[in-house]
Amino acid sequence: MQLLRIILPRGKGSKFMNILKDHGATSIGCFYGEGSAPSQILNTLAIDKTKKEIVTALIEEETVRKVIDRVSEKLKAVNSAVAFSTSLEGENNMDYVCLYVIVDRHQGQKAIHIAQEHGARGATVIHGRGSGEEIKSRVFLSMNIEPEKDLVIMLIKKDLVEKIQKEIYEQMDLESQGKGIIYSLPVNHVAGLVEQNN
Amino acid sequence: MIALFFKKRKRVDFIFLNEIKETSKSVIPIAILVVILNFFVGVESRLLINFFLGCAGVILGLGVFLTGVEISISQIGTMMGEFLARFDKIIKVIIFGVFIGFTISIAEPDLLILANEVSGAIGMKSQLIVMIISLGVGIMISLGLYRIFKDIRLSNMIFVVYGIVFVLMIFTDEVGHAIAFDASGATTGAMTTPFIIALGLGVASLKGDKSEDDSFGLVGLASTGPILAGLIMNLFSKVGEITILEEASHSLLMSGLINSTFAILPIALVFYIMNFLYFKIEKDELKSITLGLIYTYLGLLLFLTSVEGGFMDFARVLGEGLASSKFLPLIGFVLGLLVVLAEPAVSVLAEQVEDVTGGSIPRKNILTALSIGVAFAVMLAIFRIRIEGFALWMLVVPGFLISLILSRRVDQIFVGIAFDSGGVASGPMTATFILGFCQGVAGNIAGGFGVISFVAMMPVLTIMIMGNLYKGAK
Repeated sequence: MQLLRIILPRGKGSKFMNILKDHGATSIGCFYGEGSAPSQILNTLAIDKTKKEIVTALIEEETVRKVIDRVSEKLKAVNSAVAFSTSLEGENNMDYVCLYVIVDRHQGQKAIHIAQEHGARGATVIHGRGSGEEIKSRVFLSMNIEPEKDLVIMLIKKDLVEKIQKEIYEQMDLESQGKGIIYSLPVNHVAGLVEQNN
Repeated sequence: MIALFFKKRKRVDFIFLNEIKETSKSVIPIAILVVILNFFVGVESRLLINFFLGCAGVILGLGVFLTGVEISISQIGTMMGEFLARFDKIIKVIIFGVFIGFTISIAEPDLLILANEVSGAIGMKSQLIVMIISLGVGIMISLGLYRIFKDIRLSNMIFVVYGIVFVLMIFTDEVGHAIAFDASGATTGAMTTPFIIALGLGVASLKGDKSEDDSFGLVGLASTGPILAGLIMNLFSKVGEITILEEASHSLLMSGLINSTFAILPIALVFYIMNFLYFKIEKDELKSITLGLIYTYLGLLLFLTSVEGGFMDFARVLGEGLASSKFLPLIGFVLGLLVVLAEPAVSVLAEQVEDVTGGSIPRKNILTALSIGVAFAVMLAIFRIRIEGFALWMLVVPGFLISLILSRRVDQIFVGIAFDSGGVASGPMTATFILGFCQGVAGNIAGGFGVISFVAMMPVLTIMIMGNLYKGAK
């Protein structure tokens, strides 16, 4: 069983969900995120964010290669999309890992900047809300106030991940309680990426 | 180096390209329709050239404006919403709501124009009218915020508010009704609407599980403020005549400049003061918001100037030329169908709905429902011009009544979206193109009265019907 994730421009998700369904994938879901690409001009003008859709699905080991090939064919046409999968049992032997950073809302961008300074490229931010022992969820006037969170997803080459992880951890002070967490998952198949070099 | 989200092909980043692509999709159909209609009317070429220049301006202006709104006005609104959700006393929330509602609508230029027109009819100074209507907006925003905190069902609240509106309508005359609904259209401008939507989203987003249901509806409630204020003023005033003011003598650019400056200034000022005192956001983010405000301002300036220069007179001439046509109601229908798509706040609302629901209510559905609603509204407005004795309330009251009944059945999120869409549909495009067209058909300026109220009412109904369909599909 493999966990497949495809990050796409807004509006393409349903098409890919159908492709996955045809290949017998299960638990297909789709949610919204915000992509951020390292373009100097766009960044300076503060219009560097693009809307993304993230499709996730569970898929059998045997069919995953076929699906990735099929999807990557489509991805070529779509432009600025990426697909990757993680094996839920057994080995993952790709050069990439998927780095997750969960921090307070509005802090996600800072984590992306740090990562990009140290060699990372694209990143996707998902808005969510969190709860935890350290985070006090206050109840105010019958309103349960839950803290909002940014979940940052980045695909990073194995040899870079340790440095980036350390930099984010230190610069964003994740050591103190309730500030945020960072973790990475191995990745098995990747499509839609350019081979990167240092 | 690491994974890149682009493909190998080196992409040239055209700034705003995507936005402009999106907005051209909504403006080009209007241009095509106009070219076709022009065969039958033969509008003089000067106006036609102005119209096409206007179209280009609207495409560019709207694209830049929407980009700007997303990174500035929406962010500011959400921030303020979150900020006031953390107040420890409900009274602070109410005071802040009144303050913010009052501030953003008192500067609305359309409101002052309207107040000047009706000050004779009401017998009050126009400044006082503006103050009372703005206070109405402030109070309703407060009530809307109070509702979110206290978990009062939106449909119940809307029920009570419109109940009061209907009762007041019995005691007021046709002129009063027109003033009240037009005032409501005038306060929900291109800038205020995205801001109020974002404010509601900001408060509701902190509610966790129930946030989706409470995310919308604040614009809908805010737009009832002027209706109530207008009706109450009419109740206590001697009946007089509405004086239609001659077009102000400023040049187009000047009036666009005034309109957009006054629209953006209050929000920007309040934001910078509050940022200095409370938010203290990161430098990067402040830069992005400041740039966003500049885009919003420039986009709005270009948009308003283009709309006024290219569309207003043109639509009137078009209406005059087609006034005797058999197909007029049908033409009105198609016009309504297309024009609302170029309304700035409509895109903002549709986008926010898609975001909040994670795509389960796609923007296309909202736009379709709105289009159909406004199309019927324009068609009915044309019928009203043609048929003697077709009073405003004959359509507005049953329309809202059906919406209110439906609002008991549909999911609460649709109640919010529906009443919000009434406010967003009656923006600058309606106020120029549709209003101008109807004035042309009627042959006089006063004939256009009431169009706004139809445009504010029909989308509510169509969204409610859509919500009902969603319920059936489950």
